[in-house]
Amino acid sequence: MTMGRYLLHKLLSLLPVLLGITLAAFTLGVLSPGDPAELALSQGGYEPTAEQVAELERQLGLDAPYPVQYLRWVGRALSGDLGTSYRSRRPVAEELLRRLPVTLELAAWSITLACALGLFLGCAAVIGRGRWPDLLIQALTGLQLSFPAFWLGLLLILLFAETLGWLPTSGTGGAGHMLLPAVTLSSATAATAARLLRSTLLGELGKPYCTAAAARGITPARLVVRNALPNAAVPVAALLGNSLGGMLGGSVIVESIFALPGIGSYALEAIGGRDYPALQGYVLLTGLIYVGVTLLVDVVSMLLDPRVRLGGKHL
Amino acid sequence: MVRGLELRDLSVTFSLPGGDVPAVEGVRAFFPSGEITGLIGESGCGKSVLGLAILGLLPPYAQVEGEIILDGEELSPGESRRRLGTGLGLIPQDPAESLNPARTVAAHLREALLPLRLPRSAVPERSESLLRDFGFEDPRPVLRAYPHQLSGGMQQRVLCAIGTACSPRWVLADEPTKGLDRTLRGQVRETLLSLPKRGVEGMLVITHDLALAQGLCKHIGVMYAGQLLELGPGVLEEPCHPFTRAFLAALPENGFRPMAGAAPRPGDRSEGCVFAPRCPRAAERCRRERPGISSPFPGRMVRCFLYEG
Repeated sequence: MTMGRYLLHKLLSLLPVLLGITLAAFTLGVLSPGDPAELALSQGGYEPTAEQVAELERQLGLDAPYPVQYLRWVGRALSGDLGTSYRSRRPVAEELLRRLPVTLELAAWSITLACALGLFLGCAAVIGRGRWPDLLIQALTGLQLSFPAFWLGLLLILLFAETLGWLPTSGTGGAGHMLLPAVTLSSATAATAARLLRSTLLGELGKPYCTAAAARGITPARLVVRNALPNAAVPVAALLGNSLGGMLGGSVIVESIFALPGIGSYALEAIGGRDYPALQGYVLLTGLIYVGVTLLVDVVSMLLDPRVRLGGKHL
Repeated sequence: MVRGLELRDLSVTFSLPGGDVPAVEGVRAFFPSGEITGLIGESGCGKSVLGLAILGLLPPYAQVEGEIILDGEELSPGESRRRLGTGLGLIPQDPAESLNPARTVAAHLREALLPLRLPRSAVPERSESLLRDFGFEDPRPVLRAYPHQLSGGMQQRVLCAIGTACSPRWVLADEPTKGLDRTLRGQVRETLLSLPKRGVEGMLVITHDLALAQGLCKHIGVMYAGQLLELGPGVLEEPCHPFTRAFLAALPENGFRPMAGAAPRPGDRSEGCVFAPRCPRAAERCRRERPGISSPFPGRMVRCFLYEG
């Protein structure tokens, strides 16, 4: 199958996913307990009258049948209108966009750390296979995987912020503020990537092309990094890509531990305030980001393979 | 001292979770320099393992016993690995699988030339001239190509160029014609025959392609179930060991008479001669005792009681 056809196929298969995301986001508003109009009016302890609620319902179009409401909602979402937040009474789209850069920065730091650490640990384990580096890395990644993020975050704050005073505990403002959250968010991903890479590398090393490469008298490090890695990295790239999709959705836990005003903590606040338009907007936005990123990763990891990139044309 | 590659009671055992599996047992042989020696035998008889043992490339769970001696110097696995590239070279089996799908031919050759420590600027030129030596008249597009863009014959010639890039003194060709069609087999034969002109002193060709062995090699070793049963010049013309005779008789051009029985499974070892259960001339003693090496005439080694004394 050619690249173009593959892309088309992939894009078409995304249509039901996109439909599902919008349905899920919309249903969230419908299923949520309480009447949205009443909730919108009763923020701040005010008790609205039945007439006021009915009036607002008409204004918001909440008296129409659900399919009509859904289509209207999708139509508005397509034009960038995600409704108004119950709490702040400001457009949800605007609030999400204001908070998105923080989440993007955290995701960028986290995925960079996860890639670097995952690649390094995976390669180092294989180069030192069966000896202490391998055993050490197995133990470390095992520990990373069994640590819950919230606990790791708190321990890191305790050590580096409270005890040593090297790094700030919370908030934004430069690389120093991002380091601890990024370490916390990327730890488990880095460990998973390192373990996956170790096993895919060992699989590649058993193949004839690696025996042939070893017969050129190269160092074990060169054998692993230059020969096995380009082939072993494909499934790891897919794993990291999926994690990136998740990170871009904002980490509710990490953002709230480190008081980062990203979209994850926005979602948490929206849940606390029963702010359904905000939550709908969050679900829609993160769903779209996730789908977009996984598509991008799919294409990139395919392009890693020259057989796909260049097609089957012979010399 | 006669120059060449000597194996003294070489054994390779794989320590697997299910127990130890012997792959090569007590091989004693001398492959002289200046000759192409063929190593033939059925699939799974241990000939490729023997080759990898010489190169020091067996996995860590393989235990190697005995000695490998090249021109009077003993090669430990570490010493073998140190000599890879300049002293020992490999032309691997299965061309499509033995090139890295993610790297260009140029990257392969650059890596193969590393032991020579050429200045960076000299590498492209040397790579081109290597490819020209192996019949690529226009080497530039080949250098830029990825393995999947080459035909099977081109891949095989590229592997020959890689394996001999640093003019190793000894070259091991492991099943160089496996999976190739008739025309390509002829090409490989020509390529291997050209190697001695490129500074290669000795060559061991591991194959079950008897036509290749016949056309290429003066000395032939015959392996069965991990043991070297017969070795010397003219083995294919004048076979001594009952296994060699049965092996040759099973060829289509010699009447296609299949050998009775099946080769022992790895790890299945009886007391006596490994071939005794299938041997038409086996005596009581063959099943009890393992035959030593006999020499029916000068230059020939046979592991069989028929030629004793």
